[in-house]
Amino acid sequence: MTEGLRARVRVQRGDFLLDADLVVGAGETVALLGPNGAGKSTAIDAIAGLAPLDAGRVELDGRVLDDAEAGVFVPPERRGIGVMFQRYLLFEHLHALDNVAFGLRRAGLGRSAARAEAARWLDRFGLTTVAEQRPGQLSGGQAQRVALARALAVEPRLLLLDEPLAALDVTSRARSRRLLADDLDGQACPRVLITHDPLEAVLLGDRIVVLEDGRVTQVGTADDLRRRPSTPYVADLVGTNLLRASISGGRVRLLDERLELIAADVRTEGPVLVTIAPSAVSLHREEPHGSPRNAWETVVTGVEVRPETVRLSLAEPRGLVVEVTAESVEVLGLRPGSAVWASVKATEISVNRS
Amino acid sequence: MRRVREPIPWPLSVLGALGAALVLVPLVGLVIESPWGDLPSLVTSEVVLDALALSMFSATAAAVLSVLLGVPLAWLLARGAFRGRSVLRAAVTLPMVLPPVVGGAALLVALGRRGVVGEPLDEATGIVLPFSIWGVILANTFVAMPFLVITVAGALGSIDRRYEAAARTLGASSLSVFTRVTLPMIRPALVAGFVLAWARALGEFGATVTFAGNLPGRTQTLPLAVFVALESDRDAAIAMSLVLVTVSLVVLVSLRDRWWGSR
Repeated sequence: MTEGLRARVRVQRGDFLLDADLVVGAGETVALLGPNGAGKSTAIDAIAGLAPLDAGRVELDGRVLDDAEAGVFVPPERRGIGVMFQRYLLFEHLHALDNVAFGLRRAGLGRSAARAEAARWLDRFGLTTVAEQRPGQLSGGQAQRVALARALAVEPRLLLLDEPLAALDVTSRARSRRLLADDLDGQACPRVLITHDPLEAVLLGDRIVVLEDGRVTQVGTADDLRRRPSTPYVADLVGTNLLRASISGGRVRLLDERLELIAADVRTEGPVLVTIAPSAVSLHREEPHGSPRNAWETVVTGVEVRPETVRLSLAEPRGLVVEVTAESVEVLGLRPGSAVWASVKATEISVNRS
Repeated sequence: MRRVREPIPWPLSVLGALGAALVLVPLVGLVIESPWGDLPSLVTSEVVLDALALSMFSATAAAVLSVLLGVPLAWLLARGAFRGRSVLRAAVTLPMVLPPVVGGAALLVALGRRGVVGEPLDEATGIVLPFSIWGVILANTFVAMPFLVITVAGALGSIDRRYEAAARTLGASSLSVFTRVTLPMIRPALVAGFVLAWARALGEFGATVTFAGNLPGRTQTLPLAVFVALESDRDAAIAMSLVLVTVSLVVLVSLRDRWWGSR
């Protein structure tokens, strides 16, 4: 018997096709990361049984829950899959305690036994004081944790978390994220966390599955994504530059650009993805002399001031992001439209086959 | 904050005032014409008390029956996937448009002693519906239930079904999703539908008189008693009308927040 979730999910919604494989091992948290409209929530619905598969198969701890070809479909109430929904969906007519007790009651526990168990969950999450409050009276963070307690109370075999922190305001999100990490840490069941926030994915996920336009475009650890982003979306998320290029004769020719770069480690030919960290690019007022073999003249197109650094974008290669200190921006007198020389060491250019 | 009165266009105030007069003048007339001195004895006469009790009982029974049968029917109309759903939806609301007399005639043809359903029912069980209190309740339900059905079906169609999905992931069967989540969510519509059905049943005349007759003490409801009394005893008719106005007002006032929204 294979523990955990093995899913091949194929759902057609009008023109949109979700076609994704997802494997989650026992005790593992997989972050399903993707932009809005990538099909993340559709994937949750399909795994939870709220939307049937058009093709594919969902298997949890060796038990087939949905198999379109074999005609198997286990309804959501008999899957043992807990879901924490994005808007929490706490029942307004029940107070917090009875919301948590809801699933326990349905599992056959008597009223007082279910309430006692629900009270233990609230106690574990430090929510005893709000047990008698209706969902409308709870703060966002409290509602989120009541929803988590409600989903966990029935001891699911798999927990799906749909954007668990998205409904919270920015000020309480960091605290809630730490609490969520602690809460999830003690849980044995495998977890799928849906998010569009790379920080959440990195901090809460053991592994990250990137979903774009219904397809899985990358699977790996946060480090894998940072070192070798496979799509511009991922590169943008991890804050690095990803350029499409082709290599011939040891020279890296950027697609759609006039620029040719020299990379230190070129052992391949043909189409490649080039990654350049924003901090690896230096800017100069005049043509630089010395070690960098890659230097070109271009124009600053954008300036974004961040707390510690300033991020500039360049005209060539189009949209290249450069990270420099506020001092150098001042010294070089950089503003949108400024002409500037850019240089990058050959050793800072990482080349991966695409 | 300074408030500036918004001007009301004069055609709206004139026509609006006329509309209000149309409703209020007859009611005021009823109050002015009331035989206030004889009112206690008139209202407590046996005929009036019998008719009032029968009206209250049959209207309440019809409203309860409307909930028991109408809520599942509304669920089927709002959620069910079957052929002829739109035809059924139109048919179910027909009694709202149909002249009640026609409804009563249809009931008589179907459920009368010689009716297509009535005759076998009589032979098999000995139950005869027309000209009995059961006939009154049935006629009331026939005209009142559609009000509950459309109110509840509308609510069922507009609630956020993700809550029901959440309940299912917590292990709730489809029946317990309905009783534990859906019903509490549509509670305001259910209450409004119940009151609408009750009010419609209380005022029912045409279908009742056609199907259940006008037997004092057995099938004569308050509206029927008023109609009969108008011919013979005008004071009694006015007194009974006043009772109906009062009962209706009490219901309306107690529900005004639900009805008009709290503003």
